[in-house]
Amino acid sequence: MECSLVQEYLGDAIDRVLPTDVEQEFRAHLERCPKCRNACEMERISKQVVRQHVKHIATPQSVQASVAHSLKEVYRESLGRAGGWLERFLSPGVFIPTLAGGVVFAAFVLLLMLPNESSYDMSAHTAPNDVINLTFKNFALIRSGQFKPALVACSPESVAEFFHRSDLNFAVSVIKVPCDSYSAIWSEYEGVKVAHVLYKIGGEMLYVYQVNKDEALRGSKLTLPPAAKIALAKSGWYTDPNHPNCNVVVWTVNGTLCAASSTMNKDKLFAVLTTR
Amino acid sequence: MSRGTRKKQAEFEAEALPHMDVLYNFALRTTGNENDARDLLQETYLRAYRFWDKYEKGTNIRAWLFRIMKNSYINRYRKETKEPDKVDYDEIENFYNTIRADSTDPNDLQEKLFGHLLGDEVTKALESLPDDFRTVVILCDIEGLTYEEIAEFVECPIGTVRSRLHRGRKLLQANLYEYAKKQGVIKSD
Repeated sequence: MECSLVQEYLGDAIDRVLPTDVEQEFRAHLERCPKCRNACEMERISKQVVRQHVKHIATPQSVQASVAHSLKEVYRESLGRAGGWLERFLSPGVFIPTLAGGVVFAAFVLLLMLPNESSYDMSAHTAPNDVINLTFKNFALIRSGQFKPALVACSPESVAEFFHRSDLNFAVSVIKVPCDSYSAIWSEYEGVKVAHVLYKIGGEMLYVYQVNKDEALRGSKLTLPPAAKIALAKSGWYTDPNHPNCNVVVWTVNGTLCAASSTMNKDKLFAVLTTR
Repeated sequence: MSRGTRKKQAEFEAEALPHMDVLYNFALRTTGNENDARDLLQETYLRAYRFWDKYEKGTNIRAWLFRIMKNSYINRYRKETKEPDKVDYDEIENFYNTIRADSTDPNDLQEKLFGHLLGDEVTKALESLPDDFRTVVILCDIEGLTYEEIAEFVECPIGTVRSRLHRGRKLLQANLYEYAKKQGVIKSD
């Protein structure tokens, strides 16, 4: 093999695999040709130095937000021709969810008024596979930037579309609340697929952990306190009544179990979740 | 807002936004600062949305977005095309031969040559490469793309990717060698 041909294969030797019929000759040439050996070594070092010093960095949240914001502006421009507030209010996309939200809210208020017989301490939420505990932990990781969304979007439809393209075994519920941005990612916990949706609403954040309902209520990987299972079976909603600071709300919708945590206090969180 | 418009937005965001990281990194390494990188990224996504109807579904979305970014960069920051500096490769090679004589471990060589370099210097050396060379080095060595994908990104044959990468790395070595000399890690003749 000639030096010129070896030079041609240098990149392949470093970045990927050499064709099997070439490799032996290539290595043999390097053994006897110091010039090509040096060239190969220098190219390898050059790649190594770049990889070592110039890291791939995650897009800062502020940049993601500014992209979402600028897209929103463009969408808004196209919305300029839309009708007045009454027309928009009476449109199916607003009126029906508002009406449904009112009904859910009323049901939820009734649920809160019912005497709650179950009582257990906070240790109920410290099991590593407890959905409420996981919701707390994930929300903390997201807030600290250690758990980064794959998508930061402007609309709930985009998040729904994102999950629709993912291979999840449940339908992800996306709350239609006016937001600055919606973020999404999915992950696996002990082989169980989990969807994470983050809503930025003004200065507040709302995080919703979602999983297949059967996995959460009957599976072996995830767990919930017994009182939560009973409440979910009765009304489809649960919150821990004994811990005012535990602002995690759990509910089921179709075949999905959702658990929300937020920077908002519990009352405000309820209002957002139930009037959507 | 019509259902069609909402559908378009949802499809666009779900398909295009998850690739923000690779675009942001490229923008950052190309413009050299965070503000310009953010502006370039924003402009890329706005243009991509505007031309979303032109995107052929099922084709490589990353490559499509990348090409929009590249064009936006050229339009926005068009500079005189940099010519590769004249590099005395023999000088590097001679130095390399002298230190290689007493080294057997390649990692040791790397340490001797570039071990004292700081991240900023490597970044500067990378940024100073001519556009075409820098692009393939970023995509291959930082983003870890395959030659095939890089070829699709930059719309040229794999052979061209291969030669640009080889030349880009040689120029980078020369730049780093100069930094090392300035630092006194390598003695000037």
